[in-house]
Amino acid sequence: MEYRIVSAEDGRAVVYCVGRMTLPTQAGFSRIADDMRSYGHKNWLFDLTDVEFIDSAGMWMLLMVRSVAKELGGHLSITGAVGQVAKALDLASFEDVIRTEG
Amino acid sequence: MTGSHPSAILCCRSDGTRLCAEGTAALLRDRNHPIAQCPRSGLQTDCSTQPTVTVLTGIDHDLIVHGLNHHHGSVEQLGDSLLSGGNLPETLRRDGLYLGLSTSAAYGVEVAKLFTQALRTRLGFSEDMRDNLELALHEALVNGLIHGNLGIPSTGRDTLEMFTAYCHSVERGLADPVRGLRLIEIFAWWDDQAIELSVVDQGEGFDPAIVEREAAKPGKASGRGLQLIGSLSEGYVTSEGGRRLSMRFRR
Repeated sequence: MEYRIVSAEDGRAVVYCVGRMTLPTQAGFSRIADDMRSYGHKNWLFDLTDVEFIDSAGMWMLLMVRSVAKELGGHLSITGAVGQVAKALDLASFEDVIRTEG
Repeated sequence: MTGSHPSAILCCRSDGTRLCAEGTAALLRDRNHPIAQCPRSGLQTDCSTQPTVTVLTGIDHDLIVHGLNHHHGSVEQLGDSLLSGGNLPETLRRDGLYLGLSTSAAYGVEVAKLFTQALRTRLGFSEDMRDNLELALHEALVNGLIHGNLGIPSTGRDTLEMFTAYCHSVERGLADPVRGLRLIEIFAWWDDQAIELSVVDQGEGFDPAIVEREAAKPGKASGRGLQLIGSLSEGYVTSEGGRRLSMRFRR
């Protein structure tokens, strides 16, 4: 999985994730905590529109970056999940633990 | 191998495994038994006498797809040995679908995606069911590879930093010449009512009751895969000393 971080007009940082969010593809995610800490934003939006597949490890990674956002004094939301990703997050009742936007 | 066409195929008969190949492939061994060469000369890729699997002389994405779509799957060749496990003969007898891969190979290709796409091509189920099968198979496969064949416990990944260290231990395991080359079997059997997907590893085996109890603890990363499998399938069972996990899906 790959990602890029963009500052949004509302003051948040948006993380656009691309590819498969799984344990075997986690290498692209390994620097995310350092990037979040160095970026200087408190509040984060993870855009999952271009994530084609997520597994339980991918969901766990989202929970851990939420912890990083909390550590920075802010919060984290997700948006854009479609297809298998939306179904998997729904199955895991993810909206109960991470704020989901439209 | 040329392009996505195999240089050898394998069938299973009542008197043992038969190899159909060009050249010196008769020297190959299957679970420490020499493999008999088919009396038909040369490579018979159109062999219709028995269901066959292709032999993977290297991990080639296109050849795996070829084996899944044009044969009954594939087995990997490592040196003079074939990674065909004990469930290959029964899978071929049932006209099922089979992959026998090393741990490092299975971790490096999108096995669950390729396998469920091939199943969908054969059986014609919905995209929704394809998604369910892929996620359940992926979770079972990752569990078998990481906790089974690599022997890495599921604990100790509760923070991002711990998770990163855990991923490094996976990378070391995959590079290990013993653990990284252990066999993982993936196979599917089906009838008019249901599809059964199974994953068999070569690890110590596990007790699902213990994993489910651990998953129920708040803030724990372990066991989530089994919970997903339970939600996605009609149910799952373990056997072969906890090394085999079989999931059932209504068609």
